Amino acid sequence: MFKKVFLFTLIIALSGVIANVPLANPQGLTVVSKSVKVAIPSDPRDPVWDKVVGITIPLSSQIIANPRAFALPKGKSSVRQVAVKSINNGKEIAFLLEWEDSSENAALDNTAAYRDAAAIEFPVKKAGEKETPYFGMGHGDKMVNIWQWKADLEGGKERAVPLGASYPGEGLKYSVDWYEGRIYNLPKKVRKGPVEDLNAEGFGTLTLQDSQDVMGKGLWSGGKWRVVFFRAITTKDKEDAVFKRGTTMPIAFAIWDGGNLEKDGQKSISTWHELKVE
Amino acid sequence: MKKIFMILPLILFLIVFSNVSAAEKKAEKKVRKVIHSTPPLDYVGLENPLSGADPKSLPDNDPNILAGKRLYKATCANCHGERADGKGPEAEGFVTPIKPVDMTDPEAIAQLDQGYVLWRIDEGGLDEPFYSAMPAWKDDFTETEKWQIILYLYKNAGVSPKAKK
Repeated sequence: MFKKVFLFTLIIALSGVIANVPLANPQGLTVVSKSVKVAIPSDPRDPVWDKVVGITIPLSSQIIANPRAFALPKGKSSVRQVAVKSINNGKEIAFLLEWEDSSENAALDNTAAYRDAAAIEFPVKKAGEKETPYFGMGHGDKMVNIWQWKADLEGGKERAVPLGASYPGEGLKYSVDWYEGRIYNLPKKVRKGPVEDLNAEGFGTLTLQDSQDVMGKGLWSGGKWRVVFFRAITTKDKEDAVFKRGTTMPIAFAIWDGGNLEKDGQKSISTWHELKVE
Repeated sequence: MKKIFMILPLILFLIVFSNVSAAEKKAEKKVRKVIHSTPPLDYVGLENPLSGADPKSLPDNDPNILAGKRLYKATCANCHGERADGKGPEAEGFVTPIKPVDMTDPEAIAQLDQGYVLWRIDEGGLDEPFYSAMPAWKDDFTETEKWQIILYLYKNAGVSPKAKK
């Protein structure tokens, strides 16, 4: 009996000690991509995720560049934190993002509608480059790779919406970059799923990649979104994030709440945190 | 004897926890001296055209303080907090590489002249060495508004600008 009490008290004591050790370091919090020996699940409800320890990343309103979240009706973005889990099996890497959202905004059926969305951001570093891009979409010639999931492209709807367009049947061939004042051709490939594979080198420079390599799936239930993103660990695309097992790299997040009229720069964001790939 | 089994882990907890806290305090003490960057020449030695007085000594109802307060509360306070302690409602997500500055910290704006603060308001943290979430407000405020905000920053934080040598 006393042995049990001793062990119980010891566990509680050590837990208390561990809980008081600061977990954040100067690189922020650490998302660990756990090494697994199973196929990467595409379903966010897959029980594989239950065995993975996640981490909660705090978010704030995007107030750095216009359009700032101050201009939203509430004066701020909605989502204050996102829970993140990651796994990899040496061939593919996946991320599960979970956040609270009381309304499912998954239809862009009129011009006044806004979608729920989420994005993960990684730096794209050239060989020998040490400087990390600015966390807000990169800067100068320092590029980031952004994976953006859009709720309105779920349920097979991605096939009806041309890559780079927002509405079914829109059939755009090119897009206007108002920031740079130029027209560019849209990728000719069709969508594979509800996630877009993008690059940016600063605010207002978001561009679709020709090679769409990221897949995903999102489910809304009980006031919560659960979204899986996954990609091959290595790709041939030089503008893709490079993952190497046994290394760390920066990672950042963004969430849009369509119910709060959030779109484009009006969103919740994090600064850089650390991704450790086991 | 049996009581020892119950008390021992508690003692262990207190010893380790107190060591962690002491180590944290020691580490904090070590990094107290903040080295600030060098501003561009355009901002060096600039004086506040609205008032030559120490902003801390200006009355609460000074028109420039009131205007600065209104602008600060609408924008800056979201991250830097109404009390200037760096704990505003938007501060939590901006944790790397620099958290929103606690302006009451004697190593923060109290070590800077008003020209330096104007530089930080103009350019924000979008460039090296900062890369922080601080917006560049250059095009959002008039020059008068920026100087009003600076007066209120010092007044609100209860600190004086760095004295001229």
